[in-house]
Amino acid sequence: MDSAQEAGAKLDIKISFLLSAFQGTWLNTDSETRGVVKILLSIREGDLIVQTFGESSISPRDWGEVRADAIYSGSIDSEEPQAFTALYDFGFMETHVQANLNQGLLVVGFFNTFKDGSNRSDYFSREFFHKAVN
Amino acid sequence: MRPMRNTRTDDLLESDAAQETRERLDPSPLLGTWLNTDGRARGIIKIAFRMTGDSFKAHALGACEPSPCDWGEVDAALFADTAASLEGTNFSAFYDFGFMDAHLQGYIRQGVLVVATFNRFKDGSRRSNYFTKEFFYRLETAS
Repeated sequence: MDSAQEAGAKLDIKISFLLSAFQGTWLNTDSETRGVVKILLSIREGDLIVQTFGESSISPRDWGEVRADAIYSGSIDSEEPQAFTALYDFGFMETHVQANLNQGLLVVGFFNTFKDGSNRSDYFSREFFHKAVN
Repeated sequence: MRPMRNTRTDDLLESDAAQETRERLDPSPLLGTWLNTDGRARGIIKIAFRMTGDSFKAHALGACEPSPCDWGEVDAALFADTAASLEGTNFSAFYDFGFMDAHLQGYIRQGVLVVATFNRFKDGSRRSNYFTKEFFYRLETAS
């Protein structure tokens, strides 16, 4: 491993360490939710990968994986991640996901914009998730 | 195969007849001027919303010395609490300052406007992207 590769590897380790607060399975604190039941967060090649599952009468609906488009700390001089944003485009609707850690909870806002010309209103929902115990 | 129409139950209306045509969201819950509940805020000190024609606009002022930084007025998006509601109680707005962009996302709870701001630096500086959450009360006009 040359010095550039070594530096890259160290950076990957650092990013993984910093993002590890997010990593895991997050379950909705409301078991009766009609919104999102579960979010899986993982780290791949230094990126935070978001996989969301919506409530559905038969079984949770897998929204698929997207990369978080940005990670945010609590201040300009902090490296500790506190929040992330991600975007799902379902064709008929777009959902902007904005999430932040707060006292062990992942607080997630979903800004949903319909693009299908249906009679539905664009809407916002906010849900709370706790980390699943392995 | 039927086209996808929902990602969760919340996306669906109780009845298609509930809302036969898509109506514009009512912006009145947000319209007006909102002041930060923290008089020493270092983020956004004031935010105002108005309609100009069909456009919903947001206008934020940041904490700066010796006088507030005027972020200017931008188009904003309105959101209801549910797919069936017509009350615009939530918004998002985007500012591009060149060196940084700021994505504002807000909602009203119990009369308080909660604004989350996602700040992303684009100038290659050593500053971390950062997130803030601030609280605003509505400035009542004397009647």
